[in-house]
Amino acid sequence: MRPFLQVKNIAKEFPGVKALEDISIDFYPGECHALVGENGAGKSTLIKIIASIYKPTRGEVFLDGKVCNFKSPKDALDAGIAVIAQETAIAPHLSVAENMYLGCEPKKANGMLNRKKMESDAQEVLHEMGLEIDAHTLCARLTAAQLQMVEIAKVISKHAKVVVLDEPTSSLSEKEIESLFEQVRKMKAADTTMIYVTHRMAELPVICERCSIFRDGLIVAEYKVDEVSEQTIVNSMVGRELGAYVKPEHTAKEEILRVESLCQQGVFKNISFHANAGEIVAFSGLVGAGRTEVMEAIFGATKITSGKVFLYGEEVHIRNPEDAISRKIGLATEDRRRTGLLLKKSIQENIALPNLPFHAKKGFVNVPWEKETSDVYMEKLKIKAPNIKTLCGNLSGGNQQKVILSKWLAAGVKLLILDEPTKGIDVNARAEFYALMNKFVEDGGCIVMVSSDMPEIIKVADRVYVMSEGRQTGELNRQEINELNLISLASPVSEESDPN
Amino acid sequence: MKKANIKQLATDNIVIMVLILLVVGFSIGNATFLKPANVINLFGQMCLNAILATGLTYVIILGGIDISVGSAMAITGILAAKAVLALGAQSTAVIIVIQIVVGVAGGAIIGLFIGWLVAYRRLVPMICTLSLMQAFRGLAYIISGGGPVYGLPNGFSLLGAGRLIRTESFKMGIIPCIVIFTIIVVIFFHIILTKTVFGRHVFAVGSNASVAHMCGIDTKKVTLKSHTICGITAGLAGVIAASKVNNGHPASGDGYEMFAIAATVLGGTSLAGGSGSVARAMFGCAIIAIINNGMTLMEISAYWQKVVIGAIIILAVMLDMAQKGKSE
Repeated sequence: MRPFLQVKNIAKEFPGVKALEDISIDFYPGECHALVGENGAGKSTLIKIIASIYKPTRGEVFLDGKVCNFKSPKDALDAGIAVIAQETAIAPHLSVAENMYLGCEPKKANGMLNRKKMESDAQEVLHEMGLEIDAHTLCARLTAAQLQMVEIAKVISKHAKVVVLDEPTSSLSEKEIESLFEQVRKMKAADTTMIYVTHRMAELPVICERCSIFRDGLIVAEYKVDEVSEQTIVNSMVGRELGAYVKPEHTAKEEILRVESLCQQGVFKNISFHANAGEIVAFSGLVGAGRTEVMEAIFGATKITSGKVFLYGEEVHIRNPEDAISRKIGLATEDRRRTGLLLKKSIQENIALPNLPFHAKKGFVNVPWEKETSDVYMEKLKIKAPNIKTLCGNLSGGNQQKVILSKWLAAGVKLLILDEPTKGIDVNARAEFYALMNKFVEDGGCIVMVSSDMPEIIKVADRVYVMSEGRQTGELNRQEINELNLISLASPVSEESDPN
Repeated sequence: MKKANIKQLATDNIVIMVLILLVVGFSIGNATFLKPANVINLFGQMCLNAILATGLTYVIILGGIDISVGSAMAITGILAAKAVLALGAQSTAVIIVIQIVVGVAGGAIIGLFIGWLVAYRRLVPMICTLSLMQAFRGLAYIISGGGPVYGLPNGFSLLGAGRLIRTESFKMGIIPCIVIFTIIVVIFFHIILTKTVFGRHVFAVGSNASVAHMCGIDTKKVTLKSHTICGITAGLAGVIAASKVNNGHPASGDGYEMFAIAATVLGGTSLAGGSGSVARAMFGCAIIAIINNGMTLMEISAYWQKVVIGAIIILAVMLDMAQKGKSE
């Protein structure tokens, strides 16, 4: 059999980061080819190259034996390559038919929209798929699973020859997944080339013929799914070299934070953990496991449905971030640019922001204190900027993170929550930041860190809690922290083996 | 590097340069423009707008807007007139106290209401205040009984129309009371905005409300307070406007919101929020007052004046957008 879609020696570099190195895969018609690997291993980058959203730095994509010279995603779509993204790309205020034919609406001879034809064509496709969805329905009225079906119908109506599904099952129930698989089987039977990205190992034997395993922008193995076990695949995903980094010994002291069966309706459930002074506790898991939400709830930024939070052994009710800060808790959010810093304000103003009320004199800003504190932290944390008046938007990611750390250090926090602290930060700045984290806990502070970067967790964490799909799936102590344990706890469990 | 600095300085201070250009242009074009009598007039003319723009600056820095300020003016003006009549106040001091109390309290209630709608009921400021602009205007006619409230004692007009320091050549007095009053209001709210923690919070919320929230700032309270300040300045402007004409008129302040927004934007306050200054809004007020005054002196029709003011606002906003495009 001849491969229909081929990627050959694809490499993709972003400024400072190699996302893909020399990737070659053959995709065959009528087969479903899985791409698996950790977050950031390069699967999404490859998909974006196939869909012509990114241009590869090196290498080529071949469609039916011919080199593709697509200039835009639309060219790729016109050539029959359709991507169904993780987040559905549906306009909620348009009908099913309107969404299916968005951008390629059938027209009458006079140039006006041929609504009748559009709706009957749409209904026909839906009918052929065996779906009971009315083409006139507004998409806002459909469930997540139905929307996914509409996306597939859209792809089928365009007669796509290559269909990419990016984690399609992450928000579907078991029953909905089965009907999705039914459609995948139908498309395979129609000789469509399917590419399937997933974190759920159990799905591979059900729906896929082949799988390629990504690690750090490389393909480490390619298997025929029916020839290998799930364990072999997981083993291929792990096993990264960690270098000669010696993790400092921390001695855990008194308990600072304890959380008991914390719940937030529909987001996370029964989260219980504790964190002591002098240790770095990490939360591991896949993106979307609910870790960020737990942290925001503890910080008072969102409301909890039930559960208890204790600080120094005493139960507290933190209603808002103001409350949290006055109890010496700081939270450095994942998205520095959106929720971490005022980009158009200076380093000084950003460091002072949460601390202004505590140093004010009769409501007036204590400017000398503000300047002095900013100078002190700029020096201490070695923030690279001309002076404290520099706008934070002009700083590098590493330095921005140092400003955020400064503002919490200036607030005298004892418990520091760090959400993906080194995301988008280069290697050297990371090492520097880890050193600052170590210093903080050695001085009696406590860090709770959310990280999706496994080597990072292995490098810096004293204890790890793992979450998956809003649930706590395990706790690992220092000796147990390794990639295998982290991966197996983080993988979404199938419904039947789930005790809940 | 030096060249870039000069260019930066020029763009930062473009409003001042425009101001100088206008002054030079009009003084060449018309001999009376720079005469002391006209200059005094000019300052008097920009006062109402300056008071309105002061409070509006807070709301615009937050990323919001209040276009009901003109209608709010009418309400407090009428209330002040009615209060003076109802209490039968005759002494000038008592009348001024009544005026200020009604202006501040009436304006604060209006501002609190708007702030509550915007912050706690999440109404879009534009739509909310557009509706209230209509509602307040209607209310003004209802409480005034459809026409102006007349028959006020002389003391009522001191704040808006009185002048201090009489001399031989200026029998009416040199310094209008309204100018002194305006300077006090402007300086007071300028200090609140630039020196206090609350002022800093206004900028933080306007720059990025989620960051502010995560830094422990009660963003809703900040919004409520800012709208209250905007209400207070509108209330004071309403009272002064009534004092100026010595009656409480339900049509008072009609269209003033546009001038105040224009002045604020001309003063460099970004409609997207996060930056701005009360002091700079004063330059905006001066520009608008000078254009109106100068064109009147040159006998250009009032219709053309509207066209010119509109064009200048568009230019100011375009400039604001160009600045932003550069920084992104």
